[in-house]
Amino acid sequence: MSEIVIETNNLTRDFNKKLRAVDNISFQVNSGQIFGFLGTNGSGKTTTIHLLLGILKPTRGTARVLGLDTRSHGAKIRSQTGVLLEHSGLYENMTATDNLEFYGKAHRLSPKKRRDRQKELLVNLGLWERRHDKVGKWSKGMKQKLAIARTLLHQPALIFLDEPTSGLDPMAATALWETLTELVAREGVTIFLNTHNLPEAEKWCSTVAIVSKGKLLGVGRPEELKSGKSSQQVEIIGKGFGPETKQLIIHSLSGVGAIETGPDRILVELAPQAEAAPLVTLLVNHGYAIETVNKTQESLEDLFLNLVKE
Amino acid sequence: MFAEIAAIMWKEWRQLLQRTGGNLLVFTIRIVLSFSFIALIIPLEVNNGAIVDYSWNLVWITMPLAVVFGLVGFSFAGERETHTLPTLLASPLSDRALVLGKIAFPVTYAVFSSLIISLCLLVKANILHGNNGLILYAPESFYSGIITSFLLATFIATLGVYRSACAPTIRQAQTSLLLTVAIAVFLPLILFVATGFLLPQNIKQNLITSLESLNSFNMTAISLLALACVDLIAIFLVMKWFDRDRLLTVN
Repeated sequence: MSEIVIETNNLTRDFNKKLRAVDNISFQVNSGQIFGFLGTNGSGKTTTIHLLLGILKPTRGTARVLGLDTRSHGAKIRSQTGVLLEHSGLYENMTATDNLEFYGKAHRLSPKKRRDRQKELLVNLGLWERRHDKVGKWSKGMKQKLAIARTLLHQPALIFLDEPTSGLDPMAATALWETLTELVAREGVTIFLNTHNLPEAEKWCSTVAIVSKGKLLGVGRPEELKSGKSSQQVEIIGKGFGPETKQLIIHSLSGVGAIETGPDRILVELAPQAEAAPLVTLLVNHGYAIETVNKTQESLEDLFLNLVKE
Repeated sequence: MFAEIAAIMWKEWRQLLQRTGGNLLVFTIRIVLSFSFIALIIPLEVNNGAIVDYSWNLVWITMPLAVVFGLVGFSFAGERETHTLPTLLASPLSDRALVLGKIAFPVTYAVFSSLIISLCLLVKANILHGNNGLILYAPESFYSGIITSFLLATFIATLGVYRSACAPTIRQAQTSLLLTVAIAVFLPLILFVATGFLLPQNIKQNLITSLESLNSFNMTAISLLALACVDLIAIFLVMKWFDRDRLLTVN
């Protein structure tokens, strides 16, 4: 059974009493999952990570990470978690091994353990040959990989990633995710992912939370959220459609939204849980010739945009 | 905690080394050459096999000032400028270790720099005046010099780390440190002079008499003790002030 690794209750953070960056957020993250924290820029995602790490203190509310209170056990939380923040945090005038060596020392790893982990991670990430280069000379993708190596160096139970693929081209982003999921599967860690890249979140996250202006708008598995909130569209290709078809549907069925009609195509918006079968039956019973029925659901991106607009 | 302080000092040292080219041998040669040049221009007087001229004592004061001023602005403001500060703060390093490590590095570097210049001066003294045997420093003068260098460097570094933690950029950290040190040095001086004018004549006379009764060793010991107390108070205050939340919200 999976255990709760992050739990927040009405977590709130104000800056200078003027700006509420995080507003009454409550959610849970279970172990072994990739949890996506989705929001636009300035929605309080990074502040939430800082709060969870105990670097920032909450104005109100509580947060527990790995069973530890962030107010009183920040150092212990930081020793058991790995972090890749918005900026990679690498010392660019130092070499790759120096960067890892420093954080290895900071995590109190023994010299042998530091050496072994550095080699293991750098080899796995394809950076071993370049280990003595100054990091400043590297590409953004290589730097992100090194930052991930630093994040996993002390074998944390939970890692926080803040926009890990930001600024990477699609190829590099995909490669990074493949590497990341492979490493995560091998090391068995939980990931808390901050992102505004919604297709990426939909693809990789088992659970997502959507935030806007510091408020939590929804949390759950992407498909759950979509089925609970987002409408679906049914496209019917056939013959003889017209304004009277639209009137027929409106008067005969409930849970129907916008309807677009053309002579050989009709597009009907249905409520989130509604079935398409009664619509098709209705049209067939009224003598319409139907060739194809396509049912499409909104993507996470559509759902996100709708929630944020609301 | 010592391991954590050592980790920070190691990182600061690696960064300094990389900033100056990354080659330890080249770095050492550059340091030795520049310090030898400084040693060449400092005047020396030798008497009874020991260096007696006090101008070399300035090394113990100027080196900590020069070295610490040059380095300490980088401590937290440098991390902030290069966007490495949030990651550093997200590490398990304790607040104490972060503060003390950032103070300890420029202090160590300043004391070593003072020692290297003193060594260069000693070589110069022996080359110029060493016909009648080995010339050394007078021990009490040498030890008080090292302690002065250490305490002065600690004072400037502590103020510097504080200013750097408050400043958004290295330049602002250095400028505000300069102002802070000027106030910290000149304000007591002004107060001292003002006290001289304001004190009643009999108290002033008693004070002068008691100061005159002290020998130079006692005077030095009292001054160093006072400086050590100031250092401890400054470190305590900076550690009390230090807060990750505060550091992260500086802009």
